[in-house]
Amino acid sequence: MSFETLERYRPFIDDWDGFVAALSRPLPICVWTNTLKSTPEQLAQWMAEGGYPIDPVSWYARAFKLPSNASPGNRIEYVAGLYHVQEEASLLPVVLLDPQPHERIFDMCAAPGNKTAQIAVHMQNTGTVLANDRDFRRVRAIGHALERLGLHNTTTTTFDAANFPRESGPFDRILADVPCSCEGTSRKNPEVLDPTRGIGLASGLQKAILKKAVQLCRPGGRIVYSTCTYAPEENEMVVNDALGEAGHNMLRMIPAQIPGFKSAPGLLEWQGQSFDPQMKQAMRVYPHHNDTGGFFVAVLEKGPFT
Amino acid sequence: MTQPLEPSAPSNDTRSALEQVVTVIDAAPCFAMLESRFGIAPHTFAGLCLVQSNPKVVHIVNADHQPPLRPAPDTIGMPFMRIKMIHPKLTTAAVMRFGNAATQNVLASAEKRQIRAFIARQDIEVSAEEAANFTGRGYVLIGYRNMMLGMGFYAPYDRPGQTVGVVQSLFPKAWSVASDRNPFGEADVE
Repeated sequence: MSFETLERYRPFIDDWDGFVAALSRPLPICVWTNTLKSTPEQLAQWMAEGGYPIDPVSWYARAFKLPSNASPGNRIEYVAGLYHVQEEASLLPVVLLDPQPHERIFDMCAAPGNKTAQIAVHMQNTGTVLANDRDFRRVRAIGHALERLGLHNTTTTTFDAANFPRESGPFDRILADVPCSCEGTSRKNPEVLDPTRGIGLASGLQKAILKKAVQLCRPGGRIVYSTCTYAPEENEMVVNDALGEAGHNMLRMIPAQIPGFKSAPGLLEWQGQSFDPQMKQAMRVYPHHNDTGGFFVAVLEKGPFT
Repeated sequence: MTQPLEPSAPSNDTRSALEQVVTVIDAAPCFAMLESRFGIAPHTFAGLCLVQSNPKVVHIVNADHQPPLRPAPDTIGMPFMRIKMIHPKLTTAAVMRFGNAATQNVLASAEKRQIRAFIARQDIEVSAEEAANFTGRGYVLIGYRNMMLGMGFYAPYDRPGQTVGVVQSLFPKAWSVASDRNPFGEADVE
């Protein structure tokens, strides 16, 4: 497998050989308990009965890792909506969003709905989760996951996230898990490393979506910006742009850290451009640190601050 | 760029945020029907309401839900009951979510062979013991180890025998498990 397109990240990745070695291994499968219908203890028991090693995710008590050849989507417990299958790194944005019962939360780019479902379960089927995507076929896929898990606190819309109507707000928390070059998913989809695909092509759209999130968030509310790519053009540069435009009294970063999960800080400069010093509070996820995919998460808080 | 959102304009509309977006229907007849057939107590649905944004399906949603007026939602809440049928039918999602509250016309712990047939949309035969709480021809709920899985239609036989009737599976095709997979796990042997 060629990792040529990732070479440009070598200067800031701490253990390049470990990084490449992790990318060469298949990705473990991760499942999380639908706590509306079951408990992690029940799920552990099911795994034991199914012949799987019980390997809890240390930082997220409701989740378990399975061997990469497991097929948890064919189990009766899955059909009944007792758990959901979702890659470990992609669980991070919602944990950092920290949804609370009865809040009003917007998932801007929601399809296929895994994070929407995770938000709705964290809210214990109360309040409002608005799940949007611009592709109506993908919006239908969101519906299927939500139905199986028994979630009735969600509304779906089909709309361009960057131009989402202002009157739909305000929201207590917003997840901007934006379309990206997806380099971090190469352990599942090796074609994302094809050099002809291009990196940073979506940065204009990403910036527009994050600015829309800032507009729709209530004062004091939280915004999580995430991608599954390593590219600073789609990560730090996008967040830096939003911080610069909003100003320090309207938008600030808060630490994106999870005890028990190893991550690297956001970059402070890239190719001659330096970023807001707060950027070190962002979270970079490299596959060799926790045997996951790659991810980027920034947590922002909306002002005004005095 | 971004200014704090202006407080929304004062409105004389006293309806809830939900009612302003979608038709909230009187749920009492529907809940009474579920109580009569399945023994599901209406308080099972406390804090929830039924809305109709689609002529064929009623959705269930928590009463504190606040969908946006614009853009117009595609779906609000979870599909609950198909109403354009001779006998309105609970959706599979609703059975999975609320079926544990049923006290009659429910087979909560079917056998593995019955579950395999049920999720493959095949008929299952039931014994007198299994049909003990069935009150007669009509909808029944099917589950495994108290995990509710979906809806069937029970028709009693009019002749005596080892089995007393048949349940036609109404499990949706789209929810089925790949036929070459064992839904009870690779380690399962029977």
